[in-house]
Amino acid sequence: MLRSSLLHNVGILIKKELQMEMRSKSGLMSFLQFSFISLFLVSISMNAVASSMSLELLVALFWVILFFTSLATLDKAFTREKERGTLLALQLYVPSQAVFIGKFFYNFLMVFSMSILLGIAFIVLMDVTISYIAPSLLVFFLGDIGIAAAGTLLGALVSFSHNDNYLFAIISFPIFLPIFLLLIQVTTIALTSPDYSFQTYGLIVAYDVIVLVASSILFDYLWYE
Amino acid sequence: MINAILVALGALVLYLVFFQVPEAEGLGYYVRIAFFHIPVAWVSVVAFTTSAVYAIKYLRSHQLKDDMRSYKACLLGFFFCILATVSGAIFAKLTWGAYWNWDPRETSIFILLLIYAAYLTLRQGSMEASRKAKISAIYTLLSFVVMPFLVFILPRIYFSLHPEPLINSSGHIYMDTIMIWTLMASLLFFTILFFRLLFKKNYLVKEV
Repeated sequence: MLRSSLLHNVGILIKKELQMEMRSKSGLMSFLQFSFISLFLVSISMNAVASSMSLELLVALFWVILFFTSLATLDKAFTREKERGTLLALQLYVPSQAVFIGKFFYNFLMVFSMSILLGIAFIVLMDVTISYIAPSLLVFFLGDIGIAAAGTLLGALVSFSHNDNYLFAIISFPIFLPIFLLLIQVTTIALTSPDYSFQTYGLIVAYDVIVLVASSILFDYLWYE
Repeated sequence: MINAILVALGALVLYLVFFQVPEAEGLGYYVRIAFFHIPVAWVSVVAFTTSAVYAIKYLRSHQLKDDMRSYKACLLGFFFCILATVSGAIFAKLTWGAYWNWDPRETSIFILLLIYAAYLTLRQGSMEASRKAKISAIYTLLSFVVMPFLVFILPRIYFSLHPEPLINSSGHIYMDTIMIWTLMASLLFFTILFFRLLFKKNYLVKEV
């Protein structure tokens, strides 16, 4: 009973998020514009040396752009509710875990689609050769889970606080940094070899699990006054 | 009583560092900085842990007193973290030739500094005391579960210039006996100092 109602609530929430996204297109569009502007800037300014850029450098650039894009946009899932004055209604009618899971999925879809689109843009503009598609998608998938999980709790924290525009970037930077450093390492491996060993992906999975569980538990404390 | 112990221990540490510790191979007398640098870095991690413990206590009890303690631990930790970073940078300049070179431990202490700074920023602005306490506690705990990745895992991935006399995988200690005792005394001194300041009434933060 409880389980089905949770799933039901999560379903409704995800549907609502996607509907709102479809109507305003504010989330993905700002995400896209922000990261594409950064990429164009990199591409234009490095045009002269682009052919001699190593894969490691390109991977690092990719994650730096995605990192800043996430810092600039991932709090929107909650701050948007606050701006519209719907946060309290959500707090009253929807159980905490349903909200957490719903917002997590929304954030994850945003970052994951962003990773893929930005990846394609990198292939086109920076002439990156990807030898193995599946491991690259796996890295995006695993990495984006961690980013979305931390982003969900921290976005909620920001919407419950005094809501400074830069607050989300300030508080999420140190939390995101370990996964980004790991991702830069692992992406280079994933792009060049079909390696699915635990040694390569274990730490990212560990980060995902720890952050997801911790965020989910802490979210309860935040949600109920 | 505790003050007397602190003074005595402090004097002992100073005596050991300046009169007993021999020149270290490759470091000379610069090694003296280590007896300040390692303990303050240790305390900045202890402070972070203490803050997390009081954050859990607050989320369970909703007593503002626990939040005050957690906040105070962070303030002190921030201060010790700056000391660790600065002393480390000077030590690095003297021995490795540059103030900063993104050694894994430099990276982790830098991120700890950022966490402290972010925590203090989060507490700015006017909010109800209970809401402020709740938000801070949650942030402390989330950053606390992420911290092991920085302290223990990144140094294994990236090449480090730091010697590993105390923390290494094989469990051996590569130090002179006198150096170990001096380091232990200094660690004890700074740890007691931290808790003395943490429980000092109306120091830095008004008692709730």
